Amino acid sequence: MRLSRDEDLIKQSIHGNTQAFEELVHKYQNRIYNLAYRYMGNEDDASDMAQEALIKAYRSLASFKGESSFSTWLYRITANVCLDELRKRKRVVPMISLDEPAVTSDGEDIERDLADSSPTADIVFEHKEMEKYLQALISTLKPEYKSVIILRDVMDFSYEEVAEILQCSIGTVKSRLSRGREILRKKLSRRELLP
Amino acid sequence: MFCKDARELLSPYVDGFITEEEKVALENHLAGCMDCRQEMTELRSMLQLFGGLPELEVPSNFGEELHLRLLREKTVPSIKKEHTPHRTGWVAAAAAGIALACGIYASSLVPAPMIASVNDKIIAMFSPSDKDSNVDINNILNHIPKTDQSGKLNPAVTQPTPNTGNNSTKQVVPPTVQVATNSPKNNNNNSTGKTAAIEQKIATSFNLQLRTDNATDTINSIRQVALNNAGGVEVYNAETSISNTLVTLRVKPDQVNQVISELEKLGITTNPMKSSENLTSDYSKNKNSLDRVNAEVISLESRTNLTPAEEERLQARLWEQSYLNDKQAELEQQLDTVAIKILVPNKTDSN
Repeated sequence: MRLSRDEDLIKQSIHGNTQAFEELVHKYQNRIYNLAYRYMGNEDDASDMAQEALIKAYRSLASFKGESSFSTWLYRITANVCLDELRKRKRVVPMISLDEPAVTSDGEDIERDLADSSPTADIVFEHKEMEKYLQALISTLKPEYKSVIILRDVMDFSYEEVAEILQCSIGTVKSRLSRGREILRKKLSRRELLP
Repeated sequence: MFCKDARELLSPYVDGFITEEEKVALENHLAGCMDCRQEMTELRSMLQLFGGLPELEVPSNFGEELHLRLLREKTVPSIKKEHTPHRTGWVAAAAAGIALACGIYASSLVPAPMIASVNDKIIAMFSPSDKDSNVDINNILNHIPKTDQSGKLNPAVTQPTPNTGNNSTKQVVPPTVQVATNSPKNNNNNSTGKTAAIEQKIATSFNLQLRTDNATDTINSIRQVALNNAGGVEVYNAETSISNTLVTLRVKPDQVNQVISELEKLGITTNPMKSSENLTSDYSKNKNSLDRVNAEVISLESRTNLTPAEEERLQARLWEQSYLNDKQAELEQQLDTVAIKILVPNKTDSN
């Protein structure tokens, strides 16, 4: 049986050929970086997390047996690395931000922090401003909604791919997506940013 | 169809992820309901906004950085160790602290050769069999005086000069007392007022033995179990000795049963033994230090003109902060997950 190029590279990487690993991940790194960016919200952290994910993948490559595709596996590691980091930070942040943002269990009501920086309908905002606001909105979501919104609505993965990356059922993706979108739609609608 | 049901279907509908039946029912409803139509319009334009977020290019130095990091990876992927717990380091550091205290105390009273033997005993007490720890402790002993005693005091082992009127001798307590105050339980008691209000932090673990014909395959299978459950399970550590390998998995609490049942399929297992470790004291101590350091970092960073001394202090605090954060993360990982420790004997017991 002939090995595909990826399989061949994986095999070489497992034996410590770092060049093979670099070639292997090169075609995915852009997507991994973008995925990390949507979780972290800035370029420096995105770069750190993407690196972290790739190193983690390298270390655990021997245990990759090909149940999912290699890229799915990489995206899963990336998402987990980012969520872990955010989870760690969340525990430190309250000490830094003096007025703790009011968060409901759904992450529905963080308006205080966003209020100053958010665009409103009566002012014409540039693209950049809107992008920043959307990114800030994503960051207010609880992890389970955040993941599906990023993967499906920003990164345009299919329901099946999202389910595979997050290792949950398609039904779960469907319901989380519905709920997450509802939270976001309400916030945008309240600011009259939707037609 | 009611609005409530219609709203549930809007999200899958815009993705075309809906049955023909549901589609017809929803479209009928939308035709007569302005509110739901409005929501649909909003949802569609919101998805356009999110879908229109730009794709970024990876930073130009990304590949180079990855290359360098990979070169620094000493282990090839198939090698087992994925995480080294710092516990031995902590024991060594605690031992070194005691040893230092003893050294200081002893150096003021007794001649050098005896001091060396006191230190040896303390070291022996903490690591009766482990040669490596000896090296660590001596290493630490060589470094500690430079910072802690501002160069005035040297540990007896390296330079047993008698001290001239040094105050610290009065503050240092005899070795036995020092040992007692270093035990975590005692520290807990010392700060009862604070720890009483804090919820108990208990780390849970399960120990089991797994016997098979081929240990190497089994360990790979355990890794596979972890990988199949990636996100909830990771291989935390794997230590191999002559007779067996101990693989530690860290598992989200709700996945413990499933993982154990998957492990049981791999060979003959003993009943998992549950055990708990109380990390309340470690956790609150670390948390308190972190709070203090964070506050200081914030206050220093918020200012514009720092004197060189303050700048230096900030750097030191930042270093301490990252160290404490790592420690915190490790404690949290221990608390948020359940350790499943699997002992895999290298040889099959023929009995």
